[in-house]
Amino acid sequence: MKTINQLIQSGRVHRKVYTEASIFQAEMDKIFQANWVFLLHASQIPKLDDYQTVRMGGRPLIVVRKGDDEFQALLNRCPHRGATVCRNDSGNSKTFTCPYHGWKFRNSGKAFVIPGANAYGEGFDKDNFSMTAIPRVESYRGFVFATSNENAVSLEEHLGSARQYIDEWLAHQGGEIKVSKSVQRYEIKCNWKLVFDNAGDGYHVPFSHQSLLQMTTLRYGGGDIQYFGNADETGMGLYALGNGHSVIDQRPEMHKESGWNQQRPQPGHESYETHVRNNSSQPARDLERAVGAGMNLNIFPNLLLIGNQIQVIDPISVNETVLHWHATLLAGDNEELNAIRMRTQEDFPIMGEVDDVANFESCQEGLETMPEIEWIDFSRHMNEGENACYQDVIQHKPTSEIHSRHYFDTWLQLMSAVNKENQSEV
Amino acid sequence: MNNNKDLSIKIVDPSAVNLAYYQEIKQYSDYFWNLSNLGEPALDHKINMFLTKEARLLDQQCFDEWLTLFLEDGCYWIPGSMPAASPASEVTYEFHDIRRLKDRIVRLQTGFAYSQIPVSKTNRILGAPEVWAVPGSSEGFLVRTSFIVFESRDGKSQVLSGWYGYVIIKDNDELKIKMKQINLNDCLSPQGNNSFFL
Repeated sequence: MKTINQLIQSGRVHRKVYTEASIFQAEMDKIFQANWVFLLHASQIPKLDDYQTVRMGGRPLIVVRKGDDEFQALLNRCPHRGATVCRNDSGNSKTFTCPYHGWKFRNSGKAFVIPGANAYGEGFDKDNFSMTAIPRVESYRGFVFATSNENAVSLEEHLGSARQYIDEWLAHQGGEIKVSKSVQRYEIKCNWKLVFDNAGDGYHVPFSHQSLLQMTTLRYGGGDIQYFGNADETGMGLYALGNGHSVIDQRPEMHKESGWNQQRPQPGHESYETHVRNNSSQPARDLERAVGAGMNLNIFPNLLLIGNQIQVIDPISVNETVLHWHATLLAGDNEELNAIRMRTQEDFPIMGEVDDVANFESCQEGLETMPEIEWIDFSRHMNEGENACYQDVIQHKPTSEIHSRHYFDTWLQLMSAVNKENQSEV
Repeated sequence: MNNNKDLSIKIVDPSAVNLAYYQEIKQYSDYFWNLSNLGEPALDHKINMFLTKEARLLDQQCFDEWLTLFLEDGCYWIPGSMPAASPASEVTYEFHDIRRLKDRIVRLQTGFAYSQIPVSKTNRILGAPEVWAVPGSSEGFLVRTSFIVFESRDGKSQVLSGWYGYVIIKDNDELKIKMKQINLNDCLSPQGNNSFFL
């Protein structure tokens, strides 16, 4: 038996953190409830009373647009017997009706019709049978988060130093985005943290993505993310941003000259470039907007802004994770730009991510099947100025494993929080 | 690994894709949802044999030969919605012109595509293809057929099901694929490792 504290050591993490169902359950409460968790982008529910169903730490939620910058998140469970109240993925409605016994709720969660309510006798108060609302839902520039912790710091404070990067990421997109209605969704047989580890891993690129890099050399003489081949000798940096957030800033390499020319040509490359050269007053800017933002911006625990996509980590069980890739469009009238943006964003999932996923799944298998090998190593580039307070931004080399060391510090803090019924022993 | 300071991308096979192209293929896609307006479907032995061959080439992993079945301005398209939205305004699971389809094949052939080590073994079963002429066209044909793809890899297997919507162009006696649209029944649900071809 090890306590949670003993599972996280300097530069290494115990395999159980990725394989124990009890730890996963504790994470769903202490990290995915007690901490801020990303729910959705505001453009997914643009109009008043629009709703979208999502999961927050495994719990099904209905997220409703209640105002300009006001959102409501309800546990999608009938307070009566437990049935799923809303069976649609999305829609627009002021009310929800449970299909089982016809209980009706306003989209604030308040019960307003309980069929045959007088059968419950005197003293029955339907206000005691409202759908459960998540107490705090806040948004930052269209990114909607929630927490069940009434005492949590504000979302802005939680995002902290990551806000500046979110701003810069949005600036690359022209300031305002909307997400594609179609979504690339993948089911991965691994613990959710293998996905989060990878998002801040500048070390794996030339190896896990060797096929993509070699194809790009064979067909185009180079390009794409080949600058990761000697990442530590470039101007790129990996920054620990506090509260478990981090960013790999690829911009010094990717946008050094022209991200557009650096990128392998995607379907529609020529027609978009011709369009821009003929119509745009700022051709360089409009070509750059077609390519990725040059960041892996990782907001602990479940939001990844990578390239121009919004990825959401959705833990299902200790060894099952769904990853949702939301492609982004510019909000205004930019048909040509948005078309090429769809092609550039859908490239990596099938050309690169598939091989990462094969590696995540083999890691999970290795961790589960060989318990005698206890530790996972995260010590690369360790002890380089890391004893600073984590609220400060710490810069490291791009292949440093500080991303994982850093978020595990936050992880340990959250997981060690004592809660009433639960001791931290596993 | 070189740093590509003096990167010069040589563009092979320029892309035919622009907004007019998207409009054209979206129109084809929409015909499949109004088939009763197109009259009685026909059976066409040549098209049937052509699609059977296409399925076999994929099952045998003869990707270079498979690619020769496409027109130079053909496309391979796995929508993320059903009916398919325009790929100009929504992301897809995959939408490749011939250039990117070649990128995808060459990537698998490098021997470092770990999602395909070991390689997926597939068998695809097609329903009888129904054929309609593309309205206003003498050489274009819309073909719809159900499919089941059974895939086995590394001791695990999965079944994918749905229907293919093809646009086949007859040039004299030769058939070529203008569009292969792969409509997955569960395209709204999370997908597994589909790094082979559907």
